[in-house]
Amino acid sequence: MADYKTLKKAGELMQQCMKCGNCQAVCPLYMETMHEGAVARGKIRLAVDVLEGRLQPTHGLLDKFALCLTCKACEANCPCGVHCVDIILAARAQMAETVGLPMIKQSIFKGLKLRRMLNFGLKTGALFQGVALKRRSEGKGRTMRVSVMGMDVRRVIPDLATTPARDMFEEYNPAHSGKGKMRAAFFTGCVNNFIYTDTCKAIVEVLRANDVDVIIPKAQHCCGAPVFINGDRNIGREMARHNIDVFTAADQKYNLDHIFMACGTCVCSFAEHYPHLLENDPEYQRKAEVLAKKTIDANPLVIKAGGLEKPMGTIERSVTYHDSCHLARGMKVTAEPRQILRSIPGVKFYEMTNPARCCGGAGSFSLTHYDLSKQVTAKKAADISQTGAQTATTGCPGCRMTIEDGLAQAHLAVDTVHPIKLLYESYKLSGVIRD
Amino acid sequence: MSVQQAIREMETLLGKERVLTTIEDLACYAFDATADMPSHRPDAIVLPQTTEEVQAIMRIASKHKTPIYPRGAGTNLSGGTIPLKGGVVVTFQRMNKILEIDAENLTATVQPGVVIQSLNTAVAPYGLIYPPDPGTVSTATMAGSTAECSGGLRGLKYGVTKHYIMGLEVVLANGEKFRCGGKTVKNVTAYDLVKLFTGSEGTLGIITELIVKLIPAPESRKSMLAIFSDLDDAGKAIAGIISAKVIPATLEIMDKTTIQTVESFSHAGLPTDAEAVLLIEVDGIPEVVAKEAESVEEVCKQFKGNVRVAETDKERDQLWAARRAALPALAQKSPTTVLEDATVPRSRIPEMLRAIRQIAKKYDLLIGTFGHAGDGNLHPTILCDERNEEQMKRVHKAVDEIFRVAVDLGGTLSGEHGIGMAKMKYLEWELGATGVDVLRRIKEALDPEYLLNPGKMVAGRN
Repeated sequence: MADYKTLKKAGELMQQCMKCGNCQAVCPLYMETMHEGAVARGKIRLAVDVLEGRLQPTHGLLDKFALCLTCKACEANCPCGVHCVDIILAARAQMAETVGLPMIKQSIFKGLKLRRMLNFGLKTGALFQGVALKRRSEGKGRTMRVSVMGMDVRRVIPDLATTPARDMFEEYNPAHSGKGKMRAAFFTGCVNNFIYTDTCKAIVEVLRANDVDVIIPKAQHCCGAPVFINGDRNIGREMARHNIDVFTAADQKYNLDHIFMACGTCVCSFAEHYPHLLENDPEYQRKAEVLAKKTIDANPLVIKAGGLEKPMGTIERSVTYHDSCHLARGMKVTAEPRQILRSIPGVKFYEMTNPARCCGGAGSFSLTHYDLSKQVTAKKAADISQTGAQTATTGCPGCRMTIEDGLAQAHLAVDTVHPIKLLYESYKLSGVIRD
Repeated sequence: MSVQQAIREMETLLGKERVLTTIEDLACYAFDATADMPSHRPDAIVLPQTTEEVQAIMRIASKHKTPIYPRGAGTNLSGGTIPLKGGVVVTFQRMNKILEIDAENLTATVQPGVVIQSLNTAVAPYGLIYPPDPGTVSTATMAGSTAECSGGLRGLKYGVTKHYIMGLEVVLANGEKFRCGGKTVKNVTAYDLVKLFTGSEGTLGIITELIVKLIPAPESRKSMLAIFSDLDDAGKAIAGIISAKVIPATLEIMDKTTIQTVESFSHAGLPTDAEAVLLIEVDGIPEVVAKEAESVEEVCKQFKGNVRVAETDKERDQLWAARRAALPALAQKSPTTVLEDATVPRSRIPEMLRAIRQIAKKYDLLIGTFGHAGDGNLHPTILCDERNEEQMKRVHKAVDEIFRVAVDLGGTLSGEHGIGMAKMKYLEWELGATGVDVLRRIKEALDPEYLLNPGKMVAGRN
């Protein structure tokens, strides 16, 4: 008999669903598939059926639960406040533990677990990306010569950084003034570390310019979200414990005011998922909660540090902003990035339609369901294009990667950056930051 | 098995991609939005894209005597789309095009799977609206809401779905199709077949195209909330508003249980000792709206109502937030929410509310009632837990009594949800044995084998 404990626990959440179907109105995957199994209501019924013994755990069922971007749009629109994503994640974990994840995911997750291997692999990858990937004739990024790790060859993927962000800094990076008023540790996350080093550089320097000492613990590792969101809780817990150890040690050494991220998913891992994931491990759960309370996204942190009161240079640019699902609905960060953009002289801000609609990336979802993901991304690219903005900003590197692919597929020449990167440029123009 | 044979033929017709048969797929279509109903898996789900495909599906179904369940978004509240006897669910999400907006004739022609809100969004640039607004306006489909004849908040002034359906294309049980009605305001050709299929709940034929009526969007609106410490005063205010020759777009009521639940849920600022709250919105030309709002305010004050008028859009949203919170607030209090739609003439609302309160006491149940006071359509909402067998027995007795009272007060079993599976057993109370036999004769004339949505509205002879 399988252990249904976690799904059972989610059983109470399932009871709150009155099957009204309001989730259909906002679910990006329902809009594409029009299938009850793609929307929260359908998946909750499947979970109820498993719990009550009317359905057996199978790979077919796991596939159904895999059809979720975890964008939480359903939760935001649910009249009963059902935690749909929690139910789906519990079901995924239950299925994965009963029938096992597909081999491809198993091997990727095992690889992700090994920090040195991941670091080595991606650094080596940066040196050799020209072999497997070809430069596109237009715009940025590359496409694959042959399919790797199940990735679709049509997909446009960004360049790997030859020097990852964490190697660009010391562990301790004092405020420019030498008089730090706040201490904050940076959890970079994988995508920022290996790809969007421009984001990391901008945020670290902007914070340092605002009297923040920035600590970058070198032993930090992938937050584990790709693993536990797909149902592998055991590896997820190992990765969580590792990061908790690293940041607890940093906290003891530096007496941190904050731990910050520039990724919607990473920030949710620390703020929300770790304490839940470790609920049967009191020691680590306690540590996780200490860290969760200090966790903050980079946008509100920059504002808190007084980042908008510094002199800024003019950047004549039209800009729009895409809300990452996990940042907007998980962390409730929507106002701050816009506030940053609007306060930069010369920036004209244009809101897109449905800025908080999922970009379709959803981490590994775009690897396993590229066609479906691409359809969702195409809508985002069209929404961005309609604003006429020269630059699309977003607070999440996962979204940025997806959006870059979407824009490339639609042959749109729109630049993509993190909002704080524009603030950084503005600081450079005003002389607050010097090279 | 002949069902399996029928499914194989449908696969040949539509291709495997549009015929779903895995157990996981079937489980997703075993239910709809109705609480306290048995669920049942279909043998297949098919996704037609054209009327001709629907005809071919029906020909296969009638050859093999396979039950067919037309389904839109599956958001109905009468158990209307549950595939109770197995067979094939025909879902219309892939027939979701708006075919024409004819601003000159004030009509739109749409495919069955168009979502109501999408139609409203599409006609908004023309300054037009499609008024029926059930709570599921952003999910429910045009043919689904037509087959169920849904109502909504604006029923008092604007009527319900049947007042806006002008023409239909229908596929019959034997696979033949025909059209009735059209774009003309006047049309008295033969029986009113458009009305017959509107509200037929998928039991007589399958709607494959609709011509609907549009109206100019009201230019302005004004909302107010009136709080009453006496139920009869609220009742008098409802009658008084109509006597003052004002027909508000919406005239909603919430009873004491609902007020208390909403207040503890969302702290909307409602007094928890109030017996009833009325929410009123008038709309139209600005001058008329101002005058009507004044009359409504006067009437409410005359009957000791404490009136709050929304002066800005933000205040309006705050007032309506309380009403919108009614169902979620009640639903969050218990695992199962049995939502009924017993309807009485508006003059009998205080009696109906009191009767419901007595029934709640008699069966020791928590029942919150809110609803559309202006058209007498109430939503007694029973808070229960379907896992508690003993309690559910009391719930079923209470539901029986609520409908008995509604019919005795000169009302009806269903104001807007339809009969479906949920209310079949009460039909004789309202229609008598002869009336129910008329339903049966109509059903058998069009679908003698009971292939279309069997187990709903009309029971077979055996």
